[in-house]
Amino acid sequence: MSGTATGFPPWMFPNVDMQQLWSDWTRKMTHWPKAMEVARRVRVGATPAETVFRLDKLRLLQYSTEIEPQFKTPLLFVFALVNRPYILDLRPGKSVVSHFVQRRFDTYNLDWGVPTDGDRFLDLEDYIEKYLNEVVDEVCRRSGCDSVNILGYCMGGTMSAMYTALHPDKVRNLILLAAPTDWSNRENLLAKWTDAGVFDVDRLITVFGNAPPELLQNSFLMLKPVSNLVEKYFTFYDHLEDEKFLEDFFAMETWLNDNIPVAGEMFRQFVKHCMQENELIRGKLRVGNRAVNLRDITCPVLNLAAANDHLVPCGQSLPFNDAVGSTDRKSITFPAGHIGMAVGSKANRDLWPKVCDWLAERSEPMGKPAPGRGK
Amino acid sequence: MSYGNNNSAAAGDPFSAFWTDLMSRMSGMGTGQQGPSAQDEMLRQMRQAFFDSWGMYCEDFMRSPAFLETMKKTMDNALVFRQQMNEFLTRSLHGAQAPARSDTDSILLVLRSLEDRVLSRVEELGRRVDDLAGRVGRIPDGPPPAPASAPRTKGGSR
Repeated sequence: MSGTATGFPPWMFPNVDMQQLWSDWTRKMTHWPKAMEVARRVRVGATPAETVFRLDKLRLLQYSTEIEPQFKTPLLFVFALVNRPYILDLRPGKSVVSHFVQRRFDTYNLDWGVPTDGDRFLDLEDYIEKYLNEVVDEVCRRSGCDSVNILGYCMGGTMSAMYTALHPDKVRNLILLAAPTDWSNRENLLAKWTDAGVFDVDRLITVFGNAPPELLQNSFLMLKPVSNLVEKYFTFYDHLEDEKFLEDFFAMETWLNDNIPVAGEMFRQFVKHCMQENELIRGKLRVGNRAVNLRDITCPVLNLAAANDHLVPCGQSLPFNDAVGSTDRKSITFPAGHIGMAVGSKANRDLWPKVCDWLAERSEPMGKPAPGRGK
Repeated sequence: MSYGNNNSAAAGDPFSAFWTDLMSRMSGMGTGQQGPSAQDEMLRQMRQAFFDSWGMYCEDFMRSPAFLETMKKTMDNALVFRQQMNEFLTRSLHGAQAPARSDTDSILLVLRSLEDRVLSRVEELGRRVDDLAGRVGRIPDGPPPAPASAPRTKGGSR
């Protein structure tokens, strides 16, 4: 059947075969029950792990491996307070964690837990000086080291940078992954929406207590409405017969819809002091009674930026390297999106092996003294 | 680490069998041609171009002052409504002599303040103990201070 027989003008769909479209649709629909079965059985989390420490609602996961660690200094992943940290270990072949485990790093992941109404007064000081500091101490105690390697993702990277500035002696190497630190570049949509003249965060937190997960989820979806609300489902339809695609799709959807609130006071301080007033890079930020000076960071720094990141553009993450006091600092801009940096096939193939190499070069092998680390 | 649910559907359940059969029969009404064709690719490219331009239009719109103003007003109105609801609930609960969220918030703030005071007091005491331990250590002929957590030995000198 030619385009003229479809009812559409011939310039619009010149060769559309409606019978072929019908045949494709029905063939794909035969796979619908199977797709739903995949959705029901999909699991997230690729690497075996056990909870080794709990404090209030947070828990510390240690990834288990049958092989002895090759490096003395352990690696701690610090994820954002928005959504859950298992994005770093989503599925086999899409796991940042597995790269480090396979390279025999003693690897930990910090799960902040789900804040309830009673946690609304937890602030930056609680998260940095109490929780993160306790977790670092615990990891040090378990590994017998006096410092850890930290890999912070997104907001977790920003918090890791604050922590490293306040406790430079406890961080041996710092890796930031799509972590915003400089909000002077306000061209991206999220910066426009969180501008002080548009977004009254004080009032939001006063009224709601914690930052509602629905608000966060919808805001992130609306940053790319066509892509997130329309195009995604067309792509799903195109690949309805591809079981591997479906497994990845549903694993990703599980994570995307696993939203949690952010503790109110923490959210208020982060939005107000960091995103709106840009105090971190200007050296004006205070955590409790202590000023955060990024120049105090002297450990090796690897800053990973995503070239196509719509949440944290490179202009918000790359200036960090010029603000720290480290002499060993490097940045890599990789052609991926914000989430693609962690779960993208290309990043898992090309980026993470290089990051492992970078960390291995700066890590102390088991049974050998620390190279050139004066204390 | 494992997340997500563990329910697996029974393979070959009646609904799945019915659905697969129905769709197979409907598919047979077509041309019988299977698999992707060149027109699929063409349609996909047209669709992509449409989505790209639609996405750009949406982004431009969501950056516009008109949209930002509307968003601000909508959020302000929603917050006012929610605040009024909170106040109404608080009054109702207090009227029924029941605790409201504002009461638990007050208790939480008192507890946090108490925690801060206790911790700063403990830290101050810790500093004083360290200072005293340092002074004792400087006395030349004095016995060395035993660590607080040292296990008591059998027949110890205490």
